[in-house]
Amino acid sequence: MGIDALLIPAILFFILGVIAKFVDSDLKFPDGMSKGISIYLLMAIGLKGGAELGKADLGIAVQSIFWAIVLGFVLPIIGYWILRFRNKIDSMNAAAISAHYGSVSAGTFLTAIAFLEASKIEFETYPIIMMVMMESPAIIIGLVLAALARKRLQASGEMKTQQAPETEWGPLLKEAFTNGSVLVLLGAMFIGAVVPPENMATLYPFTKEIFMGVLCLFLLEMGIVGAQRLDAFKKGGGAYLIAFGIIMPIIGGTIGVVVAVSFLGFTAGGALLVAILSASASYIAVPPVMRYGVPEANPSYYLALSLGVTFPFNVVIGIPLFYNMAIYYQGLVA
Amino acid sequence: MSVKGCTAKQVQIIADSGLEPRIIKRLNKVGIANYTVFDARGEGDSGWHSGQMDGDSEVLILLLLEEGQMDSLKDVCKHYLSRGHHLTVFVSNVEMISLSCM
Repeated sequence: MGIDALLIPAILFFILGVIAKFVDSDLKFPDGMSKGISIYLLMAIGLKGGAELGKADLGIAVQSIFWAIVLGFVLPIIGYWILRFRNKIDSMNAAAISAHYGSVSAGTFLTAIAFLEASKIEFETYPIIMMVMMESPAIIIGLVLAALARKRLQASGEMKTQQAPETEWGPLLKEAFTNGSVLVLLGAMFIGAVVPPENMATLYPFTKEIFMGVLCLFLLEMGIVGAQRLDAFKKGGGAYLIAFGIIMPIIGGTIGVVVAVSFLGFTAGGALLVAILSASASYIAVPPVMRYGVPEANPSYYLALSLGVTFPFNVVIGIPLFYNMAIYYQGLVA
Repeated sequence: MSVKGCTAKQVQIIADSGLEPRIIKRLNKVGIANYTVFDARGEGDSGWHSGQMDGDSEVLILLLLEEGQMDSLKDVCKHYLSRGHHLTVFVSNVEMISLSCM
């Protein structure tokens, strides 16, 4: 699999967005458009996942949910440990950044589906359920890591007690489980699962036929936004963070391949989707919670990493890399 | 017919868009019920905010207050600033023309 892995409209539109930024084009999306497109994409993928869930094997679905929760809790702890290695990144920023890496990027996941469909590769749909389940655990871990770091800093005198924000667990946990993307995904999945297929068919022009075109629009904007975000690293402290933004998805993707093949018995296509869930970093659900729950962290870091480094890496390199890794690992364990 | 104006304190609060409902709720609790909110984007202490996504958006909350309401406003601002939130507040004396002046 070579350069042809990139010859998918969605990926090419992403690259076009990056080019638009680097040539200083005046290409700009209307305010609020990306929020609207995100809701559409989550709704469409939720309906598709729900319709499949209606036909799913309950045993595999439960196992998928279990492993999604495990990944959601474990990945941010690995990320935090890497960021804190030799005190490279302060503990509050490390907590906020690692929460993003335990959660998922729906845009990357949908690009991986576009890659599989364009390449006519079969895949399981259980990873769609996993995507919903992986949104929230990482937020909780991020908040716990930040609360522990705050206590440590207070005990050592590095943070004065009156400066230390109390973690407002109630509202933050509510936001972790009821934020817009989780609500739309869960709601659309429920609707997709309970509505009879003949009634769903009237929605297909909206949820299926225009889906890839809307995804191209979304990725065009993500290309522009991602390239703009790279400017944040010009202000210093960027080399270690950029390295983290590439190394962490490789670690997460590798763990995802192992879980999908060895524990869930997925095909290479399904394993790619689990790998992408594990490799991607959130830029929709987690940033608002971290901005409120960990105000000491600098949003420039986690937004620049998620959008400027990890998203492009996964879209251009990660997707073909993890697919080949899944095929190789399947051969190894067979 | 001559239109009579009145003086007021104009308060502009720039904050993370996620704080908007929380600040409004707290303002309502101390009796400040009237406000206008604008979507905002820009660069400051907490980096660049494009306004394109929820975690990356700012708001500008505009209030017109009486002098006697300023202490309540300061308490609300203190609540967030003491917790490390990047809140910027501008206060200025303005003359306004509205039904409430007549």
